[in-house]
Amino acid sequence: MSTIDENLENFNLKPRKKLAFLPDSLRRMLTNPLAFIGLVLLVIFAFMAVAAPYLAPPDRWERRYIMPRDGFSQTPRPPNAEAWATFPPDWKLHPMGTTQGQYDLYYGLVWGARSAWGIALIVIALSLAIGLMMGIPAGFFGGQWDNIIMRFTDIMLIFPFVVWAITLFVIFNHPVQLFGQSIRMDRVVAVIVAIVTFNWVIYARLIRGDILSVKSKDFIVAARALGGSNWRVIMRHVLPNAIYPLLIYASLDVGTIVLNIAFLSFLGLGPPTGFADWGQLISFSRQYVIGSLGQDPFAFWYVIVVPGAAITLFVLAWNLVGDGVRDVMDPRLRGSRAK
Amino acid sequence: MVAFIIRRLIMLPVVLLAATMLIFGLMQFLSPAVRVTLFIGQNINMARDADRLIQQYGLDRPVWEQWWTWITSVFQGNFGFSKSVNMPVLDALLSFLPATLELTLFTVAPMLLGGIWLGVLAAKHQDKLIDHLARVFSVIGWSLPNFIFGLFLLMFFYGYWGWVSDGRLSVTNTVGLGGDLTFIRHTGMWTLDGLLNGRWDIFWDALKHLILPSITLAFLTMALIVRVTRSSMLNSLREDYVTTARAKGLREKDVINKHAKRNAMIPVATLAGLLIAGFLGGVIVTETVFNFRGLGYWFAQAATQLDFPGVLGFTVFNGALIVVANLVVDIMYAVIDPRIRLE
Repeated sequence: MSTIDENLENFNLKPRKKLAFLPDSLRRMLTNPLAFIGLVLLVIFAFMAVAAPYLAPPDRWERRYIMPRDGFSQTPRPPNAEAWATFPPDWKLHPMGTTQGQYDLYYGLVWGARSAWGIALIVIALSLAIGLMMGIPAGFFGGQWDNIIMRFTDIMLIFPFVVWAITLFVIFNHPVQLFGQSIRMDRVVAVIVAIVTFNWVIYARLIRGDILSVKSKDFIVAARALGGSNWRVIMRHVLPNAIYPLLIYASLDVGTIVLNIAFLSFLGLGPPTGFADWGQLISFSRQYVIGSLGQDPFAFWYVIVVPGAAITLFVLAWNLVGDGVRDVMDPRLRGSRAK
Repeated sequence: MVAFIIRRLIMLPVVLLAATMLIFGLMQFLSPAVRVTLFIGQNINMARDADRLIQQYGLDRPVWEQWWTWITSVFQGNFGFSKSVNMPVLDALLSFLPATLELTLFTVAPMLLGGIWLGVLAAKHQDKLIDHLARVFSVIGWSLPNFIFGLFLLMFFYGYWGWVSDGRLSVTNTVGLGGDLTFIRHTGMWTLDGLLNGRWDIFWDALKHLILPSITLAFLTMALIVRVTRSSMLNSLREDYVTTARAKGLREKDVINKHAKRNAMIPVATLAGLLIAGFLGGVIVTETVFNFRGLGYWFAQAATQLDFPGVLGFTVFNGALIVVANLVVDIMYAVIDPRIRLE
């Protein structure tokens, strides 16, 4: 009796190349022009973040996230072409100009990228940890705990992200009573705590839903029938099959988080004055942009264009990549020409 | 369906009370001393009495007692005093609501009409030029942060061309109307009041100030509507009943408008309902950028100036709106799609 392989050889056919999930998805992402642009932008921003000490070497390492000031004049200075003679440009010559208060825009752009990535990644890691801790038992065991968590999250989700972010930041920016101690958080820490306090809710709901859909599958029943402990069933069988949607959602969350932090900072509710973040640079630009001093607003175009472009491109990149990922993940959307 | 609505209406106050408990509970992270300091501010005479004030207002009592004190006074119509705008919270809500309402009114029509039109057009001509343009538009609109877009609009229309200023009315009119007793503020919305009082100049001035904020809001939310309309239109165009309609020999216009579009509108209605509720609850970002004194502006002011009664009042109102909006959206589902039965 001939095997299938021999048959295939007789017919001069080769078995179809096996489609591995990850390389295949990656190939689809790279051939999608919009997603590709998004990926390229993200690589550039990631490079800026990682290479910040090389691109804009700080004078004092321990104050690297504080934008240095060159004098105290209010009026911004235009970009200086001479600074671009070398690469990386010398930020002390202001390659992209300075903004109100003589904060260097180039330095703020580069270190702002680093702080944006850093804060967003910390927020996501913490939200994931808390979300999993709360969501896994809710989904797996159900019962009273599930009820409590879900009603709690229902109530949290009444209010929009911005309302929570602002309210929680205002609270955590004061000395808070925790376990009988009074703790004064750094403003950056307060931002992180404020956003995590809200964000874990979404993650917990996602993982709960995915666990519910996996929980009743036959292989889970089999694992239990074989005497697997709850812990083992969760870690070895449920989670590996339920966690991917959450991980994808969380990894695409960076854009949203950075945008919300930038807005908080624009309101003056974020990191301290002088901290390298894009939202703050935007808030510095306001009175020059609207010409409230009676000057020509276009003369100071750079104070808004530099940080504005940074935030917009960053969010755009995440949205493009997110769209690409959704296309790859959802086979129904694949190949829009199929009719 | 009536039973469903009644059940949800009973749940409504429960959800709202729980929401206030949550925010009240979060505030307990702050010690009584910190909370009384927020109340006193820079007033040195009151600072001497801090301990007495804590006692008097019961700030050191258990959290449920404080919440009970607050909630009973709320039911008597007393939400506290919002120090950021120097008036009682309820008055502040009522005086800022018309501005937000006005902005919403002027945003919703262009947002829905433009978004649905472009979305249907893109789906009809899938993968043609217009479709690509619509997709680029929606990606840009979706990604542009509205405070940056708003600032750019201000840069051109206010800073450079000087057409309009920020705020709700130009300064001369605000000052002029302040002392004008013949101008009656029926609704609090300047455009409507201008019309009702026969003052075309006021109407025109208010309209000019509304254009930029509503463009900002409408442009960015239109992007969402276009996305949802397009994808749901694409789905419904592939359905069998559309093929049937075509096979019957109906005109393409009727196939699209009467058969495909009606079914494609269900997710759009959901999105629109929630967006409108979001607008009414105060568009924090846009209102702050344009100095447009609505609810969102007030909330941002209250938060930056640590005005907790203001923050609490706003969140209660905002939460109530969103809960009601969710209910309305659910009911709308059943109206649009007779297959849906609300149980």
